[in-house]
Amino acid sequence: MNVLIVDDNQAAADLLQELLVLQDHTARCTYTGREALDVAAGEHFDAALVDLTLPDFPGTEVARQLRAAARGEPPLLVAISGYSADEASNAAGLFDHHLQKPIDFDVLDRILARPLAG
Amino acid sequence: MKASPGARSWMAAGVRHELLTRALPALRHEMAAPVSVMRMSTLLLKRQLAANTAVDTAAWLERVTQIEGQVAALASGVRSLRDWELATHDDGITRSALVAQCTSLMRVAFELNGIGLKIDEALAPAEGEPRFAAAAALRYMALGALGHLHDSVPGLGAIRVEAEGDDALRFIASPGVAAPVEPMAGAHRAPRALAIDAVALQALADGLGYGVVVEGESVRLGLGAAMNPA
Repeated sequence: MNVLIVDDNQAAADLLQELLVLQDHTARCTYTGREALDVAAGEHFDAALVDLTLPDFPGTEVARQLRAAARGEPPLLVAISGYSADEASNAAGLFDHHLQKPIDFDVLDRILARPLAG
Repeated sequence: MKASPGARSWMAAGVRHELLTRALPALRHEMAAPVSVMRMSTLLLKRQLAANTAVDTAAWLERVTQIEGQVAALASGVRSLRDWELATHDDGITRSALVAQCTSLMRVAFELNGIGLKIDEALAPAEGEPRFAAAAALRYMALGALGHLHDSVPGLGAIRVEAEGDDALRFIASPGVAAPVEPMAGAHRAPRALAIDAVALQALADGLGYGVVVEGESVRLGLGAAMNPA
């Protein structure tokens, strides 16, 4: 899968990218919501891993715009946050999955593998 | 029947507990970040080993150094939990640092509910700012003021924090442009029925010995101890 990573914690984003590449995905790191939307405007991503707390605008807004701007199949949207799904209840419905930090990579692997297996 | 001094102390303690409960997701988030990086770093090393890739000593050393840095950040986060203990001696806090810390703690929780937090330019950090004693108590008071406006103002869109004189803060609520949201909806707290109403805020102020005035949709908080705690 081609995965877009959106996280202002650059160390975390870069590590996530390396881990995904090791799992035979391709991945692109972005560190702000604006940068993510700019990158997504010129490239198709199968999935987007979006931190809910970004410096410029909320991750929910990034998800909303990624979904709205998708040409064809929208990307699989995965929220990544230090907050639980219950605490970030306004993100419900915008994202296909919610992963709480620190991420359980077995779960992430399953999420990213599922569309390819289907 | 009038509440006894003991009952009022319990009420203040309950409000502090509620406020700490609301701050906990942000505190947890701050500590989850280094844990997340450590976990990914070790997993990456394990997967690189499993893939039988050639060992790049310099890269591995860099990775271990990164993990050490994250351990230090986590240790600092754990130590900072003492900031919430009233009995702990502290060096006090400046007005700008108090506002920055408390708005930072609640910013995500509020933004997830469509409520902005704005800080007056006069509250930017400055050289030689006076420090106000009892930082832990002041944190609870500032969170109490934010929590009160969050819970009691229908259709809240933003809270602005302004300096008032040399030793006070004013928290001012303003309406949102979107459809009004039920004040208690989606709040970060458990149980959700516990609103920081004016009585709860006053009980907190009395318990900690600070002067607080609720005036319509704004709250004035004096940062100097106004009286002996109840």
